[in-house]
Amino acid sequence: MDWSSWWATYSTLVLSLGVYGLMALSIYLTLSCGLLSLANAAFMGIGAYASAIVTLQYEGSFPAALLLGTAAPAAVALLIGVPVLRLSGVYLAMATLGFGEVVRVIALNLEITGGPLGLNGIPLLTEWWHVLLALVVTVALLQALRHSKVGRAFEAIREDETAARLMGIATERVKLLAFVLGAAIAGLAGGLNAHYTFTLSPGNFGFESAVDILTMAVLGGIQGVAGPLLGGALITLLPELLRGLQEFRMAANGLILIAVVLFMPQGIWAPLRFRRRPGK
Amino acid sequence: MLALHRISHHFGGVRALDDVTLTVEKGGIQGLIGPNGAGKTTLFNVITGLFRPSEGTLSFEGHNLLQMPPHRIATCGIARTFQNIRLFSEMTLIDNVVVGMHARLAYGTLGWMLRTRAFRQAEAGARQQARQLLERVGLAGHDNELAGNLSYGNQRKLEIARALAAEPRLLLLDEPVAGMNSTEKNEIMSLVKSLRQDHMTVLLIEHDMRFVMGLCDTLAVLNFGHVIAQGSPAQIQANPAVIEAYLGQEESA
Ligand SMILES: Nc1ncnc2c1ncn2[C@@H]1O[C@H](COP(=O)(O)OP(=O)(O)OP(=O)(O)O)[C@@H](O)[C@H]1O
Ligand SMILES: [Mg+2]
Repeated sequence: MDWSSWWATYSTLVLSLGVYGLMALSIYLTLSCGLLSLANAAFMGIGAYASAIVTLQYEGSFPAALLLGTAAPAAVALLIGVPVLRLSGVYLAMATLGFGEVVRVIALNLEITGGPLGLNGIPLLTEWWHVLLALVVTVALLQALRHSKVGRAFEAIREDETAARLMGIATERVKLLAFVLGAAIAGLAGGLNAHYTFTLSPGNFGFESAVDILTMAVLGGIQGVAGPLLGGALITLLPELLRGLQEFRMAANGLILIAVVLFMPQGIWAPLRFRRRPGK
Repeated sequence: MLALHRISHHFGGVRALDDVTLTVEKGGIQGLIGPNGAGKTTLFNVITGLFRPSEGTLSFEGHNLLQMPPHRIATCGIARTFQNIRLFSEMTLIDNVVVGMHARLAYGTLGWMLRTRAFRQAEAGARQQARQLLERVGLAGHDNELAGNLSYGNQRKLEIARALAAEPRLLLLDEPVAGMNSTEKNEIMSLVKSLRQDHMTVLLIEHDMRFVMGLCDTLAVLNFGHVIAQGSPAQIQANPAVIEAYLGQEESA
């Protein structure tokens, strides 16, 4: 098989690896700050729709589309973050899932989003290097963040929010930052995604997708950026790798996930595991 | 420097603090003692903004603390430790201490994004200072261990280092030597004494009378949410109301 026919077959899969890597990073960001937010799929959807509307309906440039695709969900996150981030744990999870439903229903009913049919004929503008560049920039940003006072504040909040607050950390603002930045990354992923899939429909970014994205981070581990990237790749590839199992595919997929969570509760990539002394 | 005026705080029917008026003078070490459940920790929680008292006023160096969120109170110059240790147990010792410096690290968003010179200098300086603090509390050489792996006594020491990292003017210690052996207690005693040179004011809660009497310049005694006595250690030891409160506790125990 020569390169061009290989690419014709697998380009969507390869681009998806990168895009879902971004999605896993976006949920890793909020999880690393202790926020169980499941709004990332919806933010991806907002980014996808916003950017597709720019190129499809306003014939805007691709960079402009991606910019709006990143900014729009970030702005929405800023708005809903203030009330929603007062919640924590499962309550936050439920509220953000509810938000996802609201976004889906809005997309289903608006004219500009194409209603239940969604958008079709989105120009195929996403090149492999766009996705790679987005990944590299995001990873660099998250690594810089991790090794700064902001990253330490995230970790402190995740471990003990009250103690963090009493150390002088403005926890509300820091959590809002994590939420908004996570939304921006998800929106960028959405914008890239829309421009290689040709079509968008409201169902693409619903509950199932939200759970998939969470699974990526849980599976890969959240002790560093490598974990979510690995988890994102696995969740994207597993269905392909298990294609031979045909109808048992989804069952095998589920079993693998259960096994990982049972035997590696910290995720696959968990460098801290080796730091713990035995017996403690 | 710290003034509580007629502070009351209730939990349902429990009057954990009842009309407490107390001042902490600048400099020196003040003790806060009293039987279990007297309201000592509640008082710390009120001072640090975790609880909003139902009545009363609270000021620190002219700031009205009741209008500030907890993180602002911290940046005003009040740091504390916790009776039930609250470390970031999956972070290293050095990171725990550097978190204590959070508000003092002045680089902005662009600083960490672009890893500017100012950023790198601030981070390196913070680490350097954190190492010195770890050494000061007797935890030198364990910089990169996880806090959760420390022994109980060492965790208490790390909490003190983390609180000192904020360079507070008022340090609140909630039972700093609980669960420690006598060697460790002596170490903490000389550590707290040494804070006088840093012009830090200390308010500490402790049940260990040898520790309290040996360290504190003045004492306040709480019982059932009331301040029942204030004075020098000698005055407190001779105060009939205090003796009564502690004897009452022993009889019921
Ligand atoms: N969060 C809370 N909710 C309800 N009641 C509380 C809470 N915190 C403290 N109390 C109650 O308030 C009273 C004072 O408790 P506090 O912890 O301040 O006592 P303490 O003097 O620190 O005691 P100890 O020496 O045992 O630490 C107790 O009766 C306690 O049960
Ligand atoms: Mg207490």
